[in-house]
Amino acid sequence: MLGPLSAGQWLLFVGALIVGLLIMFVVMNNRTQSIVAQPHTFSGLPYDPVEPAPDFSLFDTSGQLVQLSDFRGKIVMLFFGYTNCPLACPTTLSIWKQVHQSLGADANDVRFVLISVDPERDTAEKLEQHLTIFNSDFIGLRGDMIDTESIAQAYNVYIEYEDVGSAAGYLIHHTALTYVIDKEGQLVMAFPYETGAPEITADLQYLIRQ
Amino acid sequence: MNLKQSAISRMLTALLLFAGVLAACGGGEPTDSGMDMGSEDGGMGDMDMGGGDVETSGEEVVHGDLHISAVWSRPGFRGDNGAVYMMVMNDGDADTLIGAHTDAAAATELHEMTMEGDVMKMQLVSGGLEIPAGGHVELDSGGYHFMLVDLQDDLQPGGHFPLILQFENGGEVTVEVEVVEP
Repeated sequence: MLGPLSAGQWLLFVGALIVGLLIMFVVMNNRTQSIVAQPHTFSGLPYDPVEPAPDFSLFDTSGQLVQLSDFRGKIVMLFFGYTNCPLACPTTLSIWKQVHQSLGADANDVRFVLISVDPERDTAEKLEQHLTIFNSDFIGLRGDMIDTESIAQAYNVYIEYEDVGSAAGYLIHHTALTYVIDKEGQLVMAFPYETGAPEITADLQYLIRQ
Repeated sequence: MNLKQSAISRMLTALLLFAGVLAACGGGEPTDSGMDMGSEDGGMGDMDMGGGDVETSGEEVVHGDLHISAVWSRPGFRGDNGAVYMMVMNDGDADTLIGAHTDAAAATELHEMTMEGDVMKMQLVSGGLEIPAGGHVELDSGGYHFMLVDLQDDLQPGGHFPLILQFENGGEVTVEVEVVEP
C-alpha cells in the first residue's frame, strides 16, 4: 500500500513533470516552425511584374469555342506544340502527366492546355487522339493559321516552319516553354523545357493555395 | 527497501517514462508530403530520360565493342510520328551511327534537337552520330533521337518492335525497342 509522499518527493514529481512538458514544448515548437510557410521560391521563370495573360478564342477538339477567360478560377498550364513533334512536345506532355498524378485532387484546380501551332496537320481528331496517350483531361486547342500566329505573337512564342528534308514534311521550330496563368488570369511564370515534375507540382500547389 | 521507498522509485520511473513519451510525441519529423515520383530503382535499365526516370528491361545488346541499351519509344497511333531513344556505349575504336531502319515506320531519320534559348530547333543529321573510342552517346529528350516518320501501326504501351541500327564500322545490328507508357 502506498504511503503519502513527503514534500521533497512531491517536488521531484512536479520537477520531472515540468521537465517532460518542457521537452515536449521545445521539440514541438521547432517542428511547428519548420511547417510554418517559408516564402516560396518558384522553379519557373517569374514574370516580374505579372501581366494579364492575353486572351484567346480557339476551338477545342469537340469543336466548341473556348476562351482563355473561361478558365478563370483555375490555374492554366499552357504549351504551344504540335502532334508531329517527336521530341519536345511529348516530353513536355509526359512531364505534365506526372504532375497531374502528383497533384491528386489538386489537379481539379489546373487546366493543362496544348495550343497547336500546326493546325493544318493537327485535325481535332488527331489532336484529341494524341492527348489520350498522356491524359484525356488535357485540352487541345486549334484555330486557323492567322489566329494561331497572332496568339503565338501575343505570348512571344517563336514559330518557324522549315523543310529540313525530312520525310515527315515540314518541321516546326518553336518556343518550348510552358506558360503558367493563375486563377485571376495573370501570366505569373514560365517553366523552361524539361523542368522536373516535382518542381512544377510544388509551384502549382503553391499557386492553388493563393 | 520499505514500501514507501519502492512506491517512490516506481513513481519516479513512471514519471521518467512519461517525460520520455511526451518528448517522443512532441518530436519526430513532419510526415513527407508524399511527392515520390515513383521512380523505381529496381531495373538495371533505369535512365533519366528528361521527363523523369524511364524504366526499361535493362537488356543490353552487345555487337562487337558496342553496347546498346535502354532502347525505348513512347506509344503512338498509326500515322503519327514517334521517337526512339537509346544509350550506345563503345568499348573500342570510334564508330559512327549512320542511320536506322524499321518496318514500324515509313521512314526513320536521325535528328538533333537543339535549344536556342527557349526555342526548340530540330535538324536532320546527315553525317551520322560519332561514338568516340571508349565513349558513349545517349539519344534522349535533350538532343539526338531517331524520328519515326508515319507509324505503320499503333504502338501500344508494353509492346516492342525491331529496329535495325547501321554503324559505319560495326555494320548492322537489330535491337528491340520497348514501348513505354509515359
